[in-house]
Amino acid sequence: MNTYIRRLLTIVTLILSSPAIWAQAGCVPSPGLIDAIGARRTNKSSELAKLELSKLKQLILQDLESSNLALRAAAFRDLVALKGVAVPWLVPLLHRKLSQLDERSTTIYAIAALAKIGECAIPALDASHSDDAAFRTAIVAVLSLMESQQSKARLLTFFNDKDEQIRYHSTIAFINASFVAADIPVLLWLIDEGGLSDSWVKLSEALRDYPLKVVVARYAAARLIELGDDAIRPLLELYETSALPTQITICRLLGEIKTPTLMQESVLEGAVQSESVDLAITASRALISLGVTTHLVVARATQLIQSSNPDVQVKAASVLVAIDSPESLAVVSRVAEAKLSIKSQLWAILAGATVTAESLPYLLPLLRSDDEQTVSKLIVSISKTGPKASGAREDLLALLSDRRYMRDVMRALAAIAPGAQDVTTALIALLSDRDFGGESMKLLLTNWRVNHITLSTLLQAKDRQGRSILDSWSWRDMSDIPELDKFLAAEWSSETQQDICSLLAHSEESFSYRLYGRCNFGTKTIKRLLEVVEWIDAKNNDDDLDAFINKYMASSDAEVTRLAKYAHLFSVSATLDEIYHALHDISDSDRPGIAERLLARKSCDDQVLNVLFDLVRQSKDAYARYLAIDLLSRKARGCSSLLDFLVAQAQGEMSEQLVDLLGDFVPQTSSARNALALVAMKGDKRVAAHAALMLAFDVNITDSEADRVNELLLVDAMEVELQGAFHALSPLSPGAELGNAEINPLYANYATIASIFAYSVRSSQGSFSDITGTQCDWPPPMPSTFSTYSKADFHGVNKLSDIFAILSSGLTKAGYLDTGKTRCGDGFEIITKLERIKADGTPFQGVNRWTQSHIPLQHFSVRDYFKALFLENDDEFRLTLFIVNSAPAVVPRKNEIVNPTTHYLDSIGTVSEELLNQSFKYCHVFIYHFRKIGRRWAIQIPDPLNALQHLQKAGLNLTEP
Amino acid sequence: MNAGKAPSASIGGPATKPLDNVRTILATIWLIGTFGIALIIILQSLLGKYDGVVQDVWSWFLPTVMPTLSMIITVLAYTAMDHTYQKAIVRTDFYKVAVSLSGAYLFVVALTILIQPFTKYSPLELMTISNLWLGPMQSLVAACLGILFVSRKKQNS
Repeated sequence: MNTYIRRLLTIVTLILSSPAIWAQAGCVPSPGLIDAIGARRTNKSSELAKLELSKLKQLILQDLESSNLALRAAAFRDLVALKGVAVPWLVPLLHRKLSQLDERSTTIYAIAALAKIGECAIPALDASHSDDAAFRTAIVAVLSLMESQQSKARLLTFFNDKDEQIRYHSTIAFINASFVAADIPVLLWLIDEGGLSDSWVKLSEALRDYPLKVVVARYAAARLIELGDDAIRPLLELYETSALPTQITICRLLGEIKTPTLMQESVLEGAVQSESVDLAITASRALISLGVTTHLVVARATQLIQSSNPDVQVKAASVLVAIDSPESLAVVSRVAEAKLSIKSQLWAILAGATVTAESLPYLLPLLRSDDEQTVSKLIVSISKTGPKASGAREDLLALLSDRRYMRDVMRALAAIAPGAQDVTTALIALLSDRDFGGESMKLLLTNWRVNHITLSTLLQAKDRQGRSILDSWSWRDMSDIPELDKFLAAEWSSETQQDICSLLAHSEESFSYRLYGRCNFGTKTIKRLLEVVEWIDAKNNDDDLDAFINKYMASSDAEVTRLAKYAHLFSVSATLDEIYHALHDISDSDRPGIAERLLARKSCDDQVLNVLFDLVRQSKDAYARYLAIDLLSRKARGCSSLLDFLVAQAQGEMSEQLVDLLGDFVPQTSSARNALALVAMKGDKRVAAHAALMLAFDVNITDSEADRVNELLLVDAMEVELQGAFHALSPLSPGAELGNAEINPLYANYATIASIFAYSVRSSQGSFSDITGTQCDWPPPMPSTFSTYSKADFHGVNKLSDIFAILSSGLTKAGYLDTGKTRCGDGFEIITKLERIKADGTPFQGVNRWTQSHIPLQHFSVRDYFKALFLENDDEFRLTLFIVNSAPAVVPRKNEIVNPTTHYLDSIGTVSEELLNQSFKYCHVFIYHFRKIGRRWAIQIPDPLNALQHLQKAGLNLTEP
Repeated sequence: MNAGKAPSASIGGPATKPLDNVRTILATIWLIGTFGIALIIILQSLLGKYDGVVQDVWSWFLPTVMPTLSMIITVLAYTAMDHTYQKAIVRTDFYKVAVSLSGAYLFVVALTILIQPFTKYSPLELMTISNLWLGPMQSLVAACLGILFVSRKKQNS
């Protein structure tokens, strides 16, 4: 049965490897496509056209360099369609044109075309050895636009570029890319610049004096944490192999990823017991942050706080306080009392503890601290705890005389002992205080249900101590006090009532309006009150506000009426029709700003979008139109109906700004692209030309659309292009974001203009297998160890056929008779069968080499038996994978493990003669070293042996002549 | 000081042994057996035989012997506080069954480790397979020892 399946697999693999089939899906276009392009360019039938490739190249590149935008767009589309064929044309063109400043736009087309071609172009983008900084910058731009695993791997080679700007751009492009778990080692390196292996050390040295390393580290950490659960396993794997600084970073990151797993906890608990204080402290904090506080953390922190080193004691104290148990606080408190030199530091840390009835006895001594910040922090904590912290009442009352803490103490007292007689007495005594009377009043009103008589007494105090008491009250903080309403409704003398109302008029809070009805204001005050309505942040229907506005809508004073009508627009009850009509009466330049405030409380529905759309259409002033479109895009962000709305609008009248907005949706949905095509076919000529610019580089464009696009682009082509460039976003330009003004001007230009092409470039995502038509597992899973050989390591090897012969004969000599071979990218891979090895890497002999079950003791002798019983461990296995292609570096998939028993079968295939004629560049050797644990397989990472040692022990001395 | 020897058989009834004596003998068997096997596994662990699977091996061994051994030690420790000699007795037949079962069980546990070099299984595989017969045996042993160590019956006067 197994033989049958293997044969079937072989046949299927052979069929799928057929060049004729893969030619259509791979990098090489079918002859039919080349003929069709040739026919279109020469206006002849396919049969007659049959152009030589060199002739076709000449025609296309000629058009790409033309000043006619339509011709350039067509050439661009043809180049993208030709994929791998066009790459050797584009790279030299890019190199040549970069030196000619007046040919800037051609280089942009070349960059965009290479990016659009995608991974087929990557092997040709080996610019790391080029002396031309501009060329290397351009390649970084191409790789940035690709956003694939391969392009990210290639970007790494620029991290140690000799030019700092290129290092900067490649790093930023890398961290701005989307990430998967396989990228974690690089992100980690970016975070701490620590070395994970020799190559990382070199990169680290290259970036040692990197001015932006802090920013880069921050960005990288954020991106890594974004990966969430996916990051945990790779981080844990890396932890075992990393140096101490990196281990500390990993512990910190594990604490940030708030999904505790058993493995994560186990590693962190191990780190807690580490001899390194920093590692132990970081791991403890991480565990606490994950909500897992074990006795190990407590024990370690308690041990460390007894240290003779004050720094260590302070760090340990921070952990114990974070644990937040009364026992741990007691330990810190005892140490603080015993060691005066760090007492203030420990008290400052203790002040951050959560206040509970149990912890309070350890925290109250802090109120005697000289450090104002510590005391304030604790008082606020007590205040937040509420009645459970009532034990602090006496200490707080004692502190009430200290004006530094008076406001906080009052609030804390109100929170922990509402209604207590001694606190009431203390607060009433403060009512006459100029600075704290208002706060006292508020607390009494909210917490003590102060009766009418108390308030009356208070107001009468104005006769004795002047207006200062009332003036000093903080009315702004009194928004939700029902008692105040009752208080104002009471029978007061007209003089007193006027005083209260004039105070209220100084407030711009909406709550005040419900009180204004009772006040007899003059016209000036009323106008002021109506004017401030538009700044009120009313979230819900406010009947009192509406009632107040309505009262003055029909005033005898025309100005008051006008103001009331205007204020009405800002109330929640205003309808969209009212807003829409009112906007017509507002000047063009003010309209967007006012519209934004008017619509702030309206949900995102079609009606609102219509109002905004009309606003865009009717604004004659360019800046107003710009503001309006900005408002539309911000208002509609996250509004699912925006696309439907824009698509519907495409049937009618569109503006250039709306076309821009529509263009944002093109990569995501075909309906946006179709709407854009509709605008290009039917819209106003200028707007249509704008839409045409966006469509010009879409490789899926139909013939009729292409004709129309070409026709439109002939009109004012350059103006349209520049306008498009001006409005385009610049996703590749990190300067503005990071505040770095010294961006390479050349790169900045590319970034700005290349982003025009982002619509079409970013919409295509391919995988390596799509391009190569191969079944190789690319990139390969994480090996135990690996090594890369280049052409220089092999003498006299030029073609793939040479290295194929060396590998095949070497493997046969070493006893590897069954090997899997298949195509892999622009090269091939060879994988050996799973073999049993000894601890030093030497393979077993005979049949024992290939069996996976335990080898029983063949002949009994006491010596052999005891050796087998106590020492022998023969459960180690090895898979060796050779990948030969043009990729100079491979980033393995770290979250996947190769299947030791089936991987070899997956690679049974053929390597075509045509493929072997290509030139040899790199040979990657991946060693997968397994342990068999029961029925499970565990890969050995890290491997005690390196790849070279494995090869030598296996008898594979490949590089020796 | 009155913990003198109790009669080994009562006149006219089946042969019996004092419960305390039985417990002491069984405890001795279990302690010596467990210690011996544990010593082999400790040596194997230290010498690298179980590299990478040490935890798995001990996870197999400890549940195999520790529940029974813990019960024995707990009861012995509890009775150690008792200043009087217990008058409970055990029939000799049952005593022999308990001793045989305990010996056989410990022998099979040891055999799992000692025979591995001659089999085609790796240590962990063999331990996993041995659970098939050790499990039922352990339940028999536990039932037997449970009666001897937990329940008590006084000698008829």
